[in-house]
Amino acid sequence: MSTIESSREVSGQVVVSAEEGKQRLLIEAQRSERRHLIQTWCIRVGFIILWLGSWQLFAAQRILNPVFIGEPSGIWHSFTGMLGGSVVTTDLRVTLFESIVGFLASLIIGLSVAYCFVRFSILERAFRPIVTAVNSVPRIALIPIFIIWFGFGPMSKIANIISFVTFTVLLGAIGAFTASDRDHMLLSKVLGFNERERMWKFVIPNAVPALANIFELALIYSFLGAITAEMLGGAQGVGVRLVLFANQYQTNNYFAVLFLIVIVTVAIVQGMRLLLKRFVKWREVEMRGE
Amino acid sequence: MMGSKIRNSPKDSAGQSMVNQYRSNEPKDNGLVIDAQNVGLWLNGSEGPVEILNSIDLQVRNGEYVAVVGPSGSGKTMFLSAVAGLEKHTSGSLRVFGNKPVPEDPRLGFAMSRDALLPWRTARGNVELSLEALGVPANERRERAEQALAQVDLSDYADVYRAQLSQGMRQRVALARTLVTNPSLLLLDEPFAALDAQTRILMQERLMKLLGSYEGTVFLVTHDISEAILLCDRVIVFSHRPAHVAREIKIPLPRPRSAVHSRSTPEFQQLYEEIWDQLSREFSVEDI
Repeated sequence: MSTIESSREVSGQVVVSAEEGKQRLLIEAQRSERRHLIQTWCIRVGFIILWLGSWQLFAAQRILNPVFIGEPSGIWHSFTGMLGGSVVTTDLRVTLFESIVGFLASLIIGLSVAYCFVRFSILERAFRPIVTAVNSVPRIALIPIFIIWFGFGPMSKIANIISFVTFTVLLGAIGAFTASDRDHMLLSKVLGFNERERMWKFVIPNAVPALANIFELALIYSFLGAITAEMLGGAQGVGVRLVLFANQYQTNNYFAVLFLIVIVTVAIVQGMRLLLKRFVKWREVEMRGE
Repeated sequence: MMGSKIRNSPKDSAGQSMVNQYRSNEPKDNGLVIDAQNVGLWLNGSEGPVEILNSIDLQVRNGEYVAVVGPSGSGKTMFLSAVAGLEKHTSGSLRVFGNKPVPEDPRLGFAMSRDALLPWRTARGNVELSLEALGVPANERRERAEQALAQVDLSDYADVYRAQLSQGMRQRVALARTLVTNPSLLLLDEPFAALDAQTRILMQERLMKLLGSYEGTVFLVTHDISEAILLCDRVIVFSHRPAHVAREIKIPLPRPRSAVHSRSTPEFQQLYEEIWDQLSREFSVEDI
C-alpha cells in the first residue's frame, strides 16, 4: 500500500494516523458498496437465467407441453416479430390511449373530490358511507353495462378505468391529505392563514410524496382496467389480441404480448417517477437525516 | 421601561395597511397591551365541559416583559392561546391592543415550543412563511428572511432543509420565523422546552441578546422558573386548574442579565425560592 508510510510501528503494533484512519474508512465504505452491488446483480441475473433456462429445458425436452407453456426462445422470436407490426401500431396504441386518458380523468376526479372532502369535512361525513358502498360494487361486473352504453370502442374502456381507478386515487388522497403534522396545523393558525392557504401551503406539499406512490399504483391499475375491458369485449387493443391468441393456443404470441405490456408499463412508470422526482426530493432528505 | 412602537418597515405596504387598520379601531388604548379581566374559559372535553381558567385578572403594559408560571396543566398555555386569538374565552373580558384578539393581527409574534419547521421548505422558505401570511411581496420576503436568519447566525444555512439542521439550529430558524415580522407583542409558549439543558441555556442567552434591540412587549409562558426570572420583569404564578392568578412577583434584577452568571447570585436564588414556594402550594396530590 502506498499510504503505509503514514503508519508507524510501535512495539509490534501498527499505529495509524488520523488522516490514514479516515482514508481507510472511506476506502472500506466504497469497497463494501461495490461488493453489495456485485452481489445484487449476481443474484438477479442468476435467478433470471435459472428461470428462463429451466423453462426452455422443460419445453425443449417435451417434459411439459410447449403448446401450453410456450418456450422462451419462441416468445422472444414472436416478440421481435411483433415490433413494428399491427400489435404495436394499432392495438398497443389504442390501449395506451385508453389507459392514459382514463388515468388522467381518474386523477382529476379523485383529487378534486378528495380536496373538497378535506377542505369541507361536512361533505366527507355525508358522502363517506356512499363512497364505501359504491366502491364495494364488483367493478368488473360493470364492464358489460359500459359496453352497452358506450359501445366496443375506447369510450367503454375509459369508463371502466374511471370506475376502477378514481376510488384508488380518492381514498389514497384523503389519507395523504389528512396525514398532516399537528404542529404544522397549529402553526398555520398561529400565522393567521385561511383555509385555502392552509391546504396549499401545508396540507398538499406534505401529501405529495404519498400522492406520488398513489399515482404509480393508479397508472398500473389503468392498464389493468383497459386490458380487462378489452378482453371482455372490444374491437382493438392488446386485450383483444390476448383473447385471440389464447383461443388459438398461440402461447408464445400470448406471452410476447404480456412481455410487451410489462416493458411499456415499466417505462411509463419510470418516466412518471422522473417527472415527480423534484417534488419528493425533500422526503428523501428527511429520511436520510443529516 | 422601553418605549414601544410598531416596527413594521415602511416598505411593507401590505403589512402596514393592516397595522393601520388595527390601529384605527383602537378606542381605549390605555397603554395596556394585554388586558384580561375575569377571564374564564371552559372547553368541551370527552366527559362534558371542563373549566380551564376560572378568573384571570392580568394586565401587561407596553414594553413590559411578563412571564406566567404554573403547575402543569394549569391552563397557562390555554391563556396564551386566548391572547393569540386561537382559543375563545367563555366569560370576562380579554383585550389585546385594546381589541378582541385575532391570530391575523400582524403585531403578534407567536413562538411555539416545538419548531414546527416545514420539511419541504428550506430554512429561508420557513422564515418567509410568516411574511407570506402578511402578503409581503416575494423579493422583499427573501431579503427580510435573510436578515432574520443573519440575526440568529444562520446565514450560511438559508438553503438547507430541516433534516440537515441540529435541534438548536431548528429552534433558531423558528425564532427567526417569529421575529421576521417585527412583532410588537412577542408571545412565547415554552419556547425552549424541546431543547436539551445546555442548548436551552445558549438559546436563552441568544434570546436576551436579540431582545436587547427589541422595543416591544414580551409575554412568556414557561414551566422553567429560572427562565421566567432571567427574561422577565414580572412573574405571575397561576393556581392549579381552574386557574386564577395566585401571586405576582416583581423581578428587580438589573439588566443585562446572563443566562449563566445571573443564576448564581443570591438575589436570583431568593426569587427562585419565593416562586417555587408559591408554585408548590398549587400542586395537587395527583401531580406527584
